[in-house]
Amino acid sequence: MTIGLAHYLVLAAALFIIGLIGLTIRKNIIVLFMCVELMLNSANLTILAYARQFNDSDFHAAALFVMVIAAAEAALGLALVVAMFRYRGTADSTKLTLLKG
Amino acid sequence: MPMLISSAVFYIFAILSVISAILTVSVSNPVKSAVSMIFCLFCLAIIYFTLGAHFAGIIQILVYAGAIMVLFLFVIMLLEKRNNESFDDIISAPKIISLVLAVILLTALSAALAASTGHSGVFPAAAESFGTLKAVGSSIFKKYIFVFEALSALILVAIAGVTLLSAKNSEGDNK
Repeated sequence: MTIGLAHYLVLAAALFIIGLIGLTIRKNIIVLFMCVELMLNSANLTILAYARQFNDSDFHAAALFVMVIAAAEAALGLALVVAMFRYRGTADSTKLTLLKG
Repeated sequence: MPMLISSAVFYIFAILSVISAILTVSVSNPVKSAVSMIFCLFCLAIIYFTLGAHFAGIIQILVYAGAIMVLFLFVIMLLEKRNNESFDDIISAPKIISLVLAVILLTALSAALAASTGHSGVFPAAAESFGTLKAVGSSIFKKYIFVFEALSALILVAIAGVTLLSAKNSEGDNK
């Protein structure tokens, strides 16, 4: 039994859905960020699987660019979480109801 | 025989990565969640290796598992006051609805992928230069040099933003 493109794509879909479930059921904002990282990783896995399918190294550059964006997002997001924790004293997304009328 | 080994490696690490991803989402202690996320990233790096993406796998280990997740761990240990999420209300209606919708979405995605890839199951033979550092480097620094420069500007903006956020905080604390 050989491993093909569809195996990698189904694995990427499973990881994406797990990240999505995490985004809907978790409350801790840091864990929510980790779920977003999981979804970005599944997108990266899709890109790299298609790179193998099309024999094109340009896709690898795209995957690295996604990693750069993920790093910037994680750094800024965690800084925002720390700032918010200083002001509000919580990292629970359900307690942030400042904009609720 | 090498085909068998590569399939075994794929299946083992795919299952391990899915299990550790589920643990990341379901464990209530954020530190344990981050550690299982690191394990998941390692498994994904090995799956990248099976795809011939050696450089991307190395960068995954260095940048993701080495830098980003350590940043996450630092922030968790900085902030957490042992307030584990209580999962008492895990059986609430919105959660069940979201789980059911997610499972439906997964089956739909898998069916669509299996139906639409259209390629025969096996990957074509890799070219000689596929995934080598030379090919990836020339792709980044020749073909996509403007994207690369734009991303370095993005990183610079992110650094400035993080510095600004922390600086404002320390001023607020001093008042």
